[in-house]
Amino acid sequence: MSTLPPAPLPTTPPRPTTMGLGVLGLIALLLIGAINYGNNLSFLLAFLLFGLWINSAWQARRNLAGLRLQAEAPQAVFAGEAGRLALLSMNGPGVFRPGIVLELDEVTSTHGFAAGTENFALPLPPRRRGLHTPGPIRLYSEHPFGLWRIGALFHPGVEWLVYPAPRGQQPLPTQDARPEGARQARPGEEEFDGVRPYVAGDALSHIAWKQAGRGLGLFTKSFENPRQGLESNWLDWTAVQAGTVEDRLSQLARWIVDCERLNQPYGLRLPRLEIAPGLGPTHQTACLSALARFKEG
Amino acid sequence: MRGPEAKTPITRLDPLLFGALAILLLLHLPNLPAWVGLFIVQALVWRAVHDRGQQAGSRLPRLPLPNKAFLGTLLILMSLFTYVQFSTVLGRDAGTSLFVITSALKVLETRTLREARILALLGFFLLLTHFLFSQEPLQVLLLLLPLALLLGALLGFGLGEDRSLTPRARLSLAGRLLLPTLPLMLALFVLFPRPPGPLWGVHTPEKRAVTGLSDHMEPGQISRLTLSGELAFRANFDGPPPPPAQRYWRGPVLWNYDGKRWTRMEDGIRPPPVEDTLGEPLHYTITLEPHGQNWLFALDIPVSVPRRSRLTRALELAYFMPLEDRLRYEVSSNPDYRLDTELSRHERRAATALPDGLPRLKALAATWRAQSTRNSQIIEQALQHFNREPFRYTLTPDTLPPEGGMDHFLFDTRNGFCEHYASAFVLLMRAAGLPARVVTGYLGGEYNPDGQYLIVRQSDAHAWAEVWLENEGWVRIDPTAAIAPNRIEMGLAGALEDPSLLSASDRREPGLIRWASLKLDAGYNAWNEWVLGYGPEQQQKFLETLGLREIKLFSLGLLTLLAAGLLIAGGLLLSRHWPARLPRDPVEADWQRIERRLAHQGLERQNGETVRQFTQRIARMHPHLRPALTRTTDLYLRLNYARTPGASTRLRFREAARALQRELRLKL
Repeated sequence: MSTLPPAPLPTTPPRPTTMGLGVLGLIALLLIGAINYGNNLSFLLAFLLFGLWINSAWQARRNLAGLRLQAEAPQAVFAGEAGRLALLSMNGPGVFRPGIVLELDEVTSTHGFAAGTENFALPLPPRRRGLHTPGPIRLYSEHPFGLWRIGALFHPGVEWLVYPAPRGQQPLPTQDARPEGARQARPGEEEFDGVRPYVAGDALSHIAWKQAGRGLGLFTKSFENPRQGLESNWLDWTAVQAGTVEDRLSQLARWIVDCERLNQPYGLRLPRLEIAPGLGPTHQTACLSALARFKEG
Repeated sequence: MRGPEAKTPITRLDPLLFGALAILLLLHLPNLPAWVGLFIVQALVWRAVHDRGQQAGSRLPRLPLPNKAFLGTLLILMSLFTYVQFSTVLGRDAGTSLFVITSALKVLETRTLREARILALLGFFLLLTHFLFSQEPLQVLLLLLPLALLLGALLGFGLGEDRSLTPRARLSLAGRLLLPTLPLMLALFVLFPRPPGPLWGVHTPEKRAVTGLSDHMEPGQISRLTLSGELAFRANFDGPPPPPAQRYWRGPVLWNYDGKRWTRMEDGIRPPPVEDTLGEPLHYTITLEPHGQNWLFALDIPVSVPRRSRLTRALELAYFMPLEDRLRYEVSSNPDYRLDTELSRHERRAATALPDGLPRLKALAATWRAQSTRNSQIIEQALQHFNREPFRYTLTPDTLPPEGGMDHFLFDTRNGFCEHYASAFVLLMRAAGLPARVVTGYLGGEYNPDGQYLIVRQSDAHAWAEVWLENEGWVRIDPTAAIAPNRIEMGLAGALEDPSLLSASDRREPGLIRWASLKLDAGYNAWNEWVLGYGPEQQQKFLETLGLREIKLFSLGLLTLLAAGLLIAGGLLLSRHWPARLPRDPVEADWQRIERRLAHQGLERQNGETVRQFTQRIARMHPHLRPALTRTTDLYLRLNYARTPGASTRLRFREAARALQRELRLKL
């Protein structure tokens, strides 16, 4: 994530809405009435609305121009689950942007942006297994008066992993298929592996303060500590009975989730990829990510 | 996106939209037949009950909206009723009635966002229908309220699903957004090409009761008119107004007398008489109230002709149609003149015709004729007669018999108003062989130093005489002056024996009420002059002062469009660097109010004291405030510092803050 503040969103020129055209028609009618009856107050009303109509065009633009957005990489989910795209909006002091519609994958939500920075999240509709780049987000606003619509595109520029949905009834391979091949971790060695969201009870020394300082919330650094002396299951691509690629991946995901639940260390073996046995959230993430990124052939 | 979004169902109308339509429809009650009013009220109550029932926790029964078939049937029935009532569906009254009925039905029909938008457009058009009925400043002031509500409703459409702005916040935001549009509105008002006439002839005069001079005169008619304190017209002079003795406002000139009633003589299309004028003419602008006749008034004698009117042979100004709307016109007059030194045979016959009877009047005139060597001596004798004999000037003269009324007046009752004296004088002149005619109009006018114009009221209505003399032409003689000389210099109140019959403004008593009424009248005059009276001529004049003398309507239109285009372009360029601002965050505003209220009670936040510490300190000192204080503080801190405060937090904070403020107001 870049530390530079993002650039303001480029906006499209304002376009009149149906209501905007309706008001234009109304103005024409009022003018005809005013001319016909020589009625100066009707002239004034027509010109008031016309002034409003004209000024709304650039007032609409003001509502969106200058808004800065930044996206966080969304957490991986299983296929079929909805995700959440966390966004950070940066707004000048005293600036207020009501009624901005954000549309992501045909799901819309309306936000009013207050002054300063603000965290909010957009729902990510369920997607198929794989690596996705959510977006672009279409932003538009009809504030004020709903006469003009102004739009902007925001490319979040983040990746979203979708694991295969854990599915399949094949029994967990309980036999340790290749005990001699299992790498033995050297005692006492811990490898820094990544961060995961903070859970109450995590050691303070493991908190990722750098991320916390950026206002992204609390994360805990996780360290891989390969379990020793436990029997490990090998979850092997070839051990899955034939099916489509997705079915096989789903079955592997099922087994990974089951192993975690049973506290049973496991290794993953895919064509051209092997992950040494292990247990724990980091290991699970690594394995599921491998499944998510799996490409055949 | 438009389609599905527009069909979004709405359970209840935006309170601003409903409020605007309710006011606009109810304000039409006095303008429409009672059954339309009854229907409006029913429709509004139905919608209000329905919307109320949709709210959570409402105890009202769930009232469904009527279905479309029912509403369609109602529309057909109501249209038929309207046609039966007005015998037309066109014109101001019938058209408004139909439009109001349609709008009320639409209020009942609206179930989607799109329909609500249409309803708002109907609301703006309802404003126009109000303007057709009245353009009085007070009425317009009243209409500003629904206009503001409509704009607030429009703002709501722009916000979509964002419910963070309360209706009141929307109103004030709409007001702020409106401010930059006002200069453009004024520029368009001044510059927009004004075609001189209606686009098509829908302007059907509507019947209404109006007061004013008619084109005939009977005893008692003018005295009845003078009892009304209503405004006749206002006259703005370029320079100082003429002295009271010259304030004779010429109206219909009456030639024919049938023994009771004086009437005009149709003069066809003959050109106005040649006149010699001496001295400088007076230029002035008159704003004439509608009086249902086609007379325009001007000081004796008019030397220019306002637009769409003509000068008759008798120097009456005739408008092209009966006056149903207030009219503003410019005219020039010359008080020094010599009028019509040649009299045609036809005119001489009409100006000397006498009814049968009236033996005593004719005998009196004959004696004057015999005693005089010159015509002017006859006039003098007559005026002296009125002055010498015990004639009384009164608003309540004795009724005269239908036969020989003028004889009775001259020799028996001897009390009357200006129409009696003018009538008797003209008849006496005719009997003495001098051509004479009655001129009706107004005499006088009150000078309003605020705005520097003359107010002429119906109570200034007057009748005088014109006598034709060889080499001199028509000469104005006012017999009333011989009986009540004060009438000319001091107005009616100064001349009457009992002015208590007159309205307060006509008695011209000094005091606060008179001062206030003059101020108010000046306001009305300015409104008429600057808002209602601005038309093609004023526009031409204004453009000339700008140096745009030769400008055509077409190029004016182009110029206006160009200006509007520049405004869009310039605004768009600027808007990038000029984001929308809301002066205060509503949450912060609420919190500031709470802190101010506490400070007012001597509880100020110390330097370096956090919000939490501050409120806890107060809670310790005033335990009864603790629940409200804690709740408000929690929500305030959550809104300011929480990662995701939650959508309803703003609303809950608002409620908590309001509750706390109420408690603080009660006691500490």
